[in-house]
Amino acid sequence: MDKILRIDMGAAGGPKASETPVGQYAGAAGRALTSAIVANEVDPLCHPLGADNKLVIAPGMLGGTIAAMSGRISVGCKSPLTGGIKEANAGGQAAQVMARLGYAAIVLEGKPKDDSLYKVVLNKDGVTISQDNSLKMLGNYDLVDKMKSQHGDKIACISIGPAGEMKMCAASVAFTDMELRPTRHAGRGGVGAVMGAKGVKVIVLDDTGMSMRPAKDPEKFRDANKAWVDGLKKHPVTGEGLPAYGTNVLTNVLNEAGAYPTKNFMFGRFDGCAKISGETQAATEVERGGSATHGCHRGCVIQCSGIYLNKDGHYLTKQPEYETVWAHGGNCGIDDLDAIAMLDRLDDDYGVDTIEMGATIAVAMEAGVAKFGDAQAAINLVHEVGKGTPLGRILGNGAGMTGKAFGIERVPVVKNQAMPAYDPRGVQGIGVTYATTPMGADHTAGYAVAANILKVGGFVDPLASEGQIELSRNLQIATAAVDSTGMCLFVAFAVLDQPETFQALIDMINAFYGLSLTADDVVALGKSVLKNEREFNKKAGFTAADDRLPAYFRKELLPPHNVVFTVTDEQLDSLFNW
Amino acid sequence: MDTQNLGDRAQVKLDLTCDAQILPPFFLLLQQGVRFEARVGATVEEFLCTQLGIERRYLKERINTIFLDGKPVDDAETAVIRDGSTLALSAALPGLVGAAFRKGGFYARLREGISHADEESKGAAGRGLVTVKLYNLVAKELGPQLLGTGVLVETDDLEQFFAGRPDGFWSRCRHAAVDDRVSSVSDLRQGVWWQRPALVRLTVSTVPAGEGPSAKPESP
Repeated sequence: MDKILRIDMGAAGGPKASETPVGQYAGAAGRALTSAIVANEVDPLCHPLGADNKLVIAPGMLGGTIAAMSGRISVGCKSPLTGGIKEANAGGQAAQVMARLGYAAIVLEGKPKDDSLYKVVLNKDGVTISQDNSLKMLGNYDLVDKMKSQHGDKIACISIGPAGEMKMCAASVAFTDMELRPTRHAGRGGVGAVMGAKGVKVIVLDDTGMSMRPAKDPEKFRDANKAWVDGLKKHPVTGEGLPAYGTNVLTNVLNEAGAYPTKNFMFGRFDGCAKISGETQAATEVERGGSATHGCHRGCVIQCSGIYLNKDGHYLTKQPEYETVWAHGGNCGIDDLDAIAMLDRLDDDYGVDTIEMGATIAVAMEAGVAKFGDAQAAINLVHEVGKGTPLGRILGNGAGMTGKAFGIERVPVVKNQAMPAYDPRGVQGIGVTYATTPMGADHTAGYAVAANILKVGGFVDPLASEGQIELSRNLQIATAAVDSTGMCLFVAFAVLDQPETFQALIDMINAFYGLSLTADDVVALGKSVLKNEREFNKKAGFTAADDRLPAYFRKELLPPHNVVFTVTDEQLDSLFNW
Repeated sequence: MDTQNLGDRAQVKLDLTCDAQILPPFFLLLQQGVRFEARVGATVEEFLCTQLGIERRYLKERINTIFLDGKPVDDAETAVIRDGSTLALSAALPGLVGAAFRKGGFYARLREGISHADEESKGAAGRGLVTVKLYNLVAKELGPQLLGTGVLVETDDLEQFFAGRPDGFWSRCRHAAVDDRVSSVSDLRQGVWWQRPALVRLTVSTVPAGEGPSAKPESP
């Protein structure tokens, strides 16, 4: 992982690839690297779909090693959805394969002269770029099948569906999983539209003939990884809850708390919740011969995913995540797991973010485009997006665009990005993160609950009046650091509760790179990432006014607890005072 | 058909014996909520440990998240149940909200607007009905014990549950008794409820596959 592959899609005579040493970016990986390149090299005022934007794809620090849970991959650019900097990440196989091929990052630059589509193939012999217009408007599933027939089944693919080709703001970048299915998506912020603007339909990665990346101290690295795995397996969240029920285990609990956004954030509880809960989903998967326990990449020991079969016992999609089940389920008043699974499949195939898509359909439902609870209508709307009809073009550009098109005030976005599955009136601390993260409303921006273990920000009294702000700040710093390691964010629970597991993670990084990092260094890394991102957004024209929730969250009472968002603007503005 | 009254709600007693392998689907009933007659005015801890027989260590270490009437509870020793209360129990959860909802957790402040305050649950002591919802691993681990001793289920919920069960489920139901009288499994499957009581006192016992009494031959 000592080189960067840059592909100038607008070069004279056609796309041109060059490999450069990591140079000034040495030591950076994952989100730290994507955000550094975007912040240094992209004009913050450029058009996100123009030649001056860059799409950066980077595995984490421990990508391509035997380290468990190190398979996350980051995608960065200027976002066409938010207009600010974006980092979206995903699981799947690509991070491991790309890292073993030696690439710290792939950077797509420039813009093709016409609307031709390109395929990029990377293997031990280098890079091949070929024009292939036969791929136009293929869904991700057909596309990957075609790549498999051409390049065999030892590959990993990074691709876009029709939504990316149509440069929709909800378009995702897909990554294949262990079964070579395009089920893992860097979903947020329209990163797929930027890949589409670069004219790249698919990047095929083949690490045949390459080896695992070697550690500086193999013995210590192996021992630390063992302690790491043991720690993850013994923790009740990472070793039991997530493997048994997946992330959808949250549905019942959020609903009980009255913080489950229902019917476009009008209510905090959904009557049909038990029909779409993680417990019901897991039982359905097992009863049909699928699986409720499955990893998204090799080396995953948490196994929070699953295999969802349809009523006839045929593969339909991977186990839909909590966010997806909520977005297409309760938020649209839909309590049919099979319909939700179909929507997940369509989102993956057309290549759109499930959160943005579900939030958008809910806004459309409030506008009367379809009725809340009408699952078939929701499926039809996603097909409109995939086909690129005029209505589909509106929906495919997200909740903000759809709200404007249909004259709806209740549009749950921050920086034009749709909110995820936690109502900020019920869980105010998450509202602080939604409002202030440079990414736009994003629950994963403040997700690394190990912040206190890392001693981010020194001692924080969580019960002090400033607690919400300080906790969110520290969570955002810790998350930026974890995103840079390439570790799945779910590791944070074992790190939170088991100091020896946190130590194992530090030991693993140190043994691999021959470093002597401390928790302070990890904190400094997280701060530097956020600083890059905040600076970029400031130059792009963002002000404090963009760090706000929509006004209705302060006015509309959320049943059943009848609460509003109460954190003041002054408190929000103090978040990045460190 | 004899019925008992619990307040003004008629109920019937249903005892099921089934193969152990079909017990897990019953846990889905627990996520929707089952009722218990309780001595109200008691703390959550007293209700769970003394009245329902859950081990204190299990409450402390395994039940990571508690909601009382939809509000996260930080201290099971001070929150008090009332007649009509709903108590929801979960094991450790993922996500920031998982950390935020933990009882007494470091991130509890993140959900301070909806946290349970002890003064909310002050009420008269006496007998009452409490709804208990069991989620995820807690349902799996406490389900056999609570189903074995009996839970009160809304008839609608039970009918819906039975309606969604596949053939394999029914072939593993070995014995059914309604108000201590042997009944046919097919009657249950077809939703025959005598005088349609509002509540069913359900107990589920298990036997290893291939053992135990056979189901009464099904009605033509």
